[in-house]
Amino acid sequence: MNGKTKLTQQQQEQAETLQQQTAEQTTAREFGTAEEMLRFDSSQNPVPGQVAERLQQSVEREQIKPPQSWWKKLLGR
Amino acid sequence: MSAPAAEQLVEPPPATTPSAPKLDDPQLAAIYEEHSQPVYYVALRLLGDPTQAEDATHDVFLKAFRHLAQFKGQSSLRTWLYRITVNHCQNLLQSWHRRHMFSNADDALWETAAGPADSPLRVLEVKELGQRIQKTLDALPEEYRLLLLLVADEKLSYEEVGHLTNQTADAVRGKLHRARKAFAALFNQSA
Repeated sequence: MNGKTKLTQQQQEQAETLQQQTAEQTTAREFGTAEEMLRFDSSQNPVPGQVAERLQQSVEREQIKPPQSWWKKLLGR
Repeated sequence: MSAPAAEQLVEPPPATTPSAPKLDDPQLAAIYEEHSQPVYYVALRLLGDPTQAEDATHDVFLKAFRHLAQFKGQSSLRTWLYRITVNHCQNLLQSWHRRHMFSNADDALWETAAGPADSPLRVLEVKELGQRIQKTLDALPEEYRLLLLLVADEKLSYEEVGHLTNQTADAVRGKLHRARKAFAALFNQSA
Protein backbone atom coordinates (compact mmCIF):
# COMPACT_ATOMS: atom_id res chain seq x y z
CA MET A 1 0.00 0.00 0.00
CA ASN A 2 2.79 2.32 1.06
CA GLY A 3 4.81 1.38 -2.01
CA LYS A 4 1.87 2.16 -4.25
CA THR A 5 1.34 5.54 -2.61
CA LYS A 6 5.03 6.36 -3.06
CA LEU A 7 4.86 5.37 -6.72
CA THR A 8 1.82 7.56 -7.31
CA GLN A 9 3.56 10.45 -5.61
CA GLN A 10 6.63 9.97 -7.82
CA GLN A 11 4.48 9.87 -10.93
CA GLN A 12 2.74 13.04 -9.85
CA GLU A 13 6.08 14.77 -9.22
CA GLN A 14 7.34 13.66 -12.62
CA ALA A 15 4.21 14.98 -14.29
CA GLU A 16 4.60 18.29 -12.50
CA THR A 17 8.24 18.55 -13.53
CA LEU A 18 7.34 17.83 -17.15
CA GLN A 19 4.56 20.38 -17.00
CA GLN A 20 6.96 22.95 -15.58
CA GLN A 21 9.54 22.22 -18.27
CA THR A 22 6.94 22.59 -20.99
CA ALA A 23 5.74 25.85 -19.46
CA GLU A 24 9.32 27.13 -19.40
CA GLN A 25 9.69 26.40 -23.08
CA THR A 26 6.45 27.97 -24.17
CA THR A 27 5.83 30.78 -21.69
CA ALA A 28 6.21 34.18 -23.21
CA ARG A 29 8.07 36.89 -21.38
CA GLU A 30 8.32 40.58 -21.79
CA PHE A 31 11.22 42.74 -20.68
CA GLY A 32 11.21 46.48 -20.28
CA THR A 33 14.88 47.00 -21.08
CA ALA A 34 17.87 45.14 -22.46
CA GLU A 35 19.42 45.06 -18.99
CA GLU A 36 16.34 43.39 -17.54
CA MET A 37 16.55 40.74 -20.23
CA LEU A 38 20.27 40.23 -19.59
CA ARG A 39 19.67 39.81 -15.86
CA PHE A 40 17.10 37.13 -16.59
CA ASP A 41 19.48 35.49 -19.04
CA SER A 42 22.20 35.50 -16.39
CA SER A 43 19.87 33.73 -13.96
CA GLN A 44 19.36 31.04 -16.59
CA ASN A 45 23.10 30.48 -17.05
CA PRO A 46 24.61 29.51 -13.69
CA VAL A 47 28.32 28.94 -13.33
CA PRO A 48 29.00 25.24 -13.98
CA GLY A 49 30.14 23.45 -10.83
CA GLN A 50 33.32 22.16 -12.43
CA VAL A 51 34.77 25.70 -12.49
CA ALA A 52 35.00 25.74 -8.69
CA GLU A 53 36.48 22.24 -8.72
CA ARG A 54 39.18 23.25 -11.20
CA LEU A 55 39.84 26.44 -9.30
CA GLN A 56 40.24 24.52 -6.05
CA GLN A 57 42.79 22.24 -7.74
CA SER A 58 44.70 25.23 -9.11
CA VAL A 59 44.67 26.99 -5.73
CA GLU A 60 46.00 23.83 -4.06
CA ARG A 61 48.67 23.35 -6.71
CA GLU A 62 49.89 26.92 -6.36
CA GLN A 63 49.33 26.96 -2.58
CA ILE A 64 47.53 30.28 -2.75
CA LYS A 65 46.51 31.85 0.54
CA PRO A 66 44.89 35.26 0.82
CA PRO A 67 47.18 37.71 2.63
CA GLN A 68 46.13 38.03 6.27
CA SER A 69 45.91 41.80 6.19
CA TRP A 70 43.85 41.74 3.03
CA TRP A 71 40.65 40.41 4.51
CA LYS A 72 40.71 43.02 7.29
CA LYS A 73 41.25 45.71 4.67
CA LEU A 74 38.25 44.53 2.69
CA LEU A 75 36.00 44.30 5.74
CA GLY A 76 37.18 47.69 6.91
CA ARG A 77 35.94 49.34 3.73
CA MET B 1 -9.89 30.19 -23.72
CA SER B 2 -6.40 30.70 -22.50
CA ALA B 3 -4.70 34.10 -22.43
CA PRO B 4 -2.40 34.97 -25.35
CA ALA B 5 1.07 33.58 -24.78
CA ALA B 6 2.66 37.02 -24.77
CA GLU B 7 0.60 38.08 -21.76
CA GLN B 8 1.56 35.14 -19.59
CA LEU B 9 4.27 36.24 -17.24
CA VAL B 10 4.89 33.15 -15.20
CA GLU B 11 8.37 33.27 -13.80
CA PRO B 12 10.28 30.10 -14.61
CA PRO B 13 12.52 28.96 -11.78
CA PRO B 14 16.11 30.17 -12.07
CA ALA B 15 18.52 27.57 -13.31
CA THR B 16 20.72 26.37 -10.51
CA THR B 17 23.75 24.19 -10.13
CA PRO B 18 22.86 21.54 -7.58
CA SER B 19 25.33 21.24 -4.72
CA ALA B 20 27.95 23.41 -6.39
CA PRO B 21 31.38 22.60 -4.97
CA LYS B 22 33.07 25.23 -2.88
CA LEU B 23 36.64 26.28 -2.40
CA ASP B 24 38.32 25.09 0.78
CA ASP B 25 39.66 28.45 1.89
CA PRO B 26 36.69 30.35 3.40
CA GLN B 27 37.94 33.75 2.23
CA LEU B 28 38.51 32.66 -1.35
CA ALA B 29 35.22 30.75 -1.26
CA ALA B 30 33.36 33.87 -0.14
CA ILE B 31 34.84 35.90 -2.99
CA TYR B 32 34.03 33.20 -5.51
CA GLU B 33 30.50 32.72 -4.23
CA GLU B 34 29.67 36.40 -4.40
CA HIS B 35 31.24 37.25 -7.74
CA SER B 36 31.52 34.12 -9.89
CA GLN B 37 28.06 34.43 -11.46
CA PRO B 38 28.51 37.96 -12.88
CA VAL B 39 32.05 37.15 -13.99
CA TYR B 40 30.91 33.97 -15.74
CA TYR B 41 27.96 35.67 -17.39
CA VAL B 42 30.00 38.56 -18.78
CA ALA B 43 32.60 36.10 -20.07
CA LEU B 44 29.86 33.96 -21.58
CA ARG B 45 28.32 36.80 -23.51
CA LEU B 46 31.61 38.42 -24.49
CA LEU B 47 33.11 35.18 -25.76
CA GLY B 48 29.85 33.58 -26.91
CA ASP B 49 30.87 30.10 -25.86
CA PRO B 50 30.10 28.32 -22.55
CA THR B 51 33.30 26.26 -22.53
CA GLN B 52 35.47 29.29 -23.15
CA ALA B 53 33.52 31.19 -20.50
CA GLU B 54 34.24 28.41 -17.99
CA ASP B 55 37.95 28.59 -18.78
CA ALA B 56 37.88 32.36 -18.55
CA THR B 57 36.10 32.31 -15.18
CA HIS B 58 38.67 29.89 -13.81
CA ASP B 59 41.54 31.99 -15.16
CA VAL B 60 40.10 35.28 -13.92
CA PHE B 61 39.67 34.03 -10.35
CA LEU B 62 43.05 32.34 -10.31
CA LYS B 63 44.66 35.56 -11.50
CA ALA B 64 42.73 37.55 -8.88
CA PHE B 65 43.62 35.13 -6.07
CA ARG B 66 47.30 35.25 -7.03
CA HIS B 67 47.27 39.04 -6.85
CA LEU B 68 44.92 39.71 -3.96
CA ALA B 69 47.68 41.55 -2.15
CA GLN B 70 47.76 44.04 -5.02
CA PHE B 71 44.11 44.90 -4.63
CA LYS B 72 44.30 48.27 -2.95
CA GLY B 73 40.63 48.69 -2.27
CA GLN B 74 40.45 51.86 -4.37
CA SER B 75 37.58 50.35 -6.31
CA SER B 76 35.13 47.67 -5.28
CA LEU B 77 36.23 44.08 -5.54
CA ARG B 78 33.50 43.51 -8.13
CA THR B 79 34.88 46.32 -10.30
CA TRP B 80 38.40 44.93 -9.97
CA LEU B 81 37.23 41.46 -11.00
CA TYR B 82 35.31 42.88 -13.94
CA ARG B 83 38.40 44.70 -15.12
CA ILE B 84 40.37 41.46 -15.06
CA THR B 85 37.49 39.68 -16.84
CA VAL B 86 37.10 42.25 -19.58
CA ASN B 87 40.87 42.44 -20.20
CA HIS B 88 41.12 38.67 -20.24
CA CYS B 89 38.24 38.25 -22.69
CA GLN B 90 39.49 41.05 -24.94
CA ASN B 91 42.93 39.45 -25.04
CA LEU B 92 41.37 36.12 -25.98
CA LEU B 93 39.26 37.71 -28.68
CA GLN B 94 42.28 39.54 -30.08
CA SER B 95 44.42 36.46 -30.11
CA TRP B 96 41.70 34.58 -31.94
CA HIS B 97 41.58 37.28 -34.58
CA ARG B 98 37.93 37.65 -33.98
CA ARG B 99 37.87 41.39 -33.98
CA HIS B 100 36.93 41.54 -37.62
CA MET B 101 33.66 39.83 -36.74
CA PHE B 102 32.52 42.79 -34.67
CA SER B 103 30.12 45.19 -36.23
CA ASN B 104 31.54 48.54 -37.25
CA ALA B 105 28.13 50.01 -37.74
CA ASP B 106 27.92 53.73 -37.39
CA ASP B 107 26.01 55.14 -34.43
CA ALA B 108 23.74 56.93 -36.86
CA LEU B 109 22.37 53.59 -37.97
CA TRP B 110 21.11 52.90 -34.46
CA GLU B 111 19.73 56.40 -34.13
CA THR B 112 17.49 55.77 -37.11
CA ALA B 113 16.63 52.20 -36.15
CA ALA B 114 12.92 51.51 -36.01
CA GLY B 115 11.22 51.45 -32.64
CA PRO B 116 11.69 53.44 -29.47
CA ALA B 117 14.44 52.49 -27.02
CA ASP B 118 11.94 51.73 -24.30
CA SER B 119 9.72 49.44 -26.34
CA PRO B 120 9.21 46.10 -24.59
CA LEU B 121 11.34 43.20 -25.72
CA ARG B 122 9.03 40.26 -26.17
CA VAL B 123 10.11 36.69 -26.46
CA LEU B 124 7.88 33.67 -26.87
CA GLU B 125 10.40 30.91 -26.33
CA VAL B 126 12.52 31.26 -23.20
CA LYS B 127 14.50 28.30 -24.47
CA GLU B 128 15.73 30.31 -27.45
CA LEU B 129 16.33 33.47 -25.50
CA GLY B 130 20.03 32.83 -24.91
CA GLN B 131 20.72 32.28 -28.58
CA ARG B 132 18.87 35.42 -29.59
CA ILE B 133 20.63 37.49 -26.94
CA GLN B 134 24.01 36.19 -28.07
CA LYS B 135 23.20 36.93 -31.70
CA THR B 136 22.05 40.43 -30.80
CA LEU B 137 25.09 41.18 -28.63
CA ASP B 138 27.44 39.87 -31.31
CA ALA B 139 25.91 42.27 -33.82
CA LEU B 140 26.30 45.28 -31.52
CA PRO B 141 29.34 47.54 -31.54
CA GLU B 142 31.77 46.28 -28.88
CA GLU B 143 31.32 49.38 -26.75
CA TYR B 144 27.54 48.97 -26.54
CA ARG B 145 27.83 45.26 -25.80
CA LEU B 146 30.14 45.83 -22.85
CA LEU B 147 28.13 48.77 -21.58
CA LEU B 148 24.88 46.79 -21.49
CA LEU B 149 26.49 43.79 -19.82
CA LEU B 150 28.02 45.95 -17.10
CA VAL B 151 24.95 48.12 -16.52
CA ALA B 152 22.86 44.97 -16.20
CA ASP B 153 24.75 44.28 -12.97
CA GLU B 154 22.72 46.21 -10.43
CA LYS B 155 25.64 46.23 -8.02
CA LEU B 156 27.62 48.53 -10.31
CA SER B 157 27.00 52.27 -10.31
CA TYR B 158 27.23 54.34 -13.50
CA GLU B 159 30.45 55.79 -12.04
CA GLU B 160 31.92 52.31 -11.74
CA VAL B 161 30.79 51.36 -15.24
CA GLY B 162 32.38 54.59 -16.46
CA HIS B 163 35.58 53.72 -14.60
CA LEU B 164 35.65 50.31 -16.28
CA THR B 165 34.97 51.69 -19.74
CA ASN B 166 37.19 54.78 -19.41
CA GLN B 167 34.49 57.40 -19.58
CA THR B 168 32.40 59.59 -17.32
CA ALA B 169 29.14 58.50 -15.73
CA ASP B 170 27.34 61.09 -17.90
CA ALA B 171 28.84 59.54 -21.03
CA VAL B 172 27.65 56.13 -19.81
CA ARG B 173 24.10 57.47 -19.40
CA GLY B 174 24.16 59.01 -22.86
CA LYS B 175 25.51 55.95 -24.61
CA LEU B 176 23.26 53.62 -22.68
CA HIS B 177 20.21 55.11 -24.35
CA ARG B 178 21.70 54.42 -27.79
CA ALA B 179 22.86 50.96 -26.73
CA ARG B 180 19.35 50.05 -25.54
CA LYS B 181 17.86 51.28 -28.78
CA ALA B 182 20.35 49.34 -30.88
CA PHE B 183 19.80 46.21 -28.81
CA ALA B 184 16.01 46.46 -29.11
CA ALA B 185 16.14 46.99 -32.87
CA LEU B 186 18.51 44.07 -33.44
CA PHE B 187 16.74 41.79 -30.99
CA ASN B 188 13.36 42.35 -32.62
CA GLN B 189 14.91 41.67 -36.02
CA SER B 190 16.32 38.38 -34.78
CA ALA B 191 12.86 36.84 -34.17
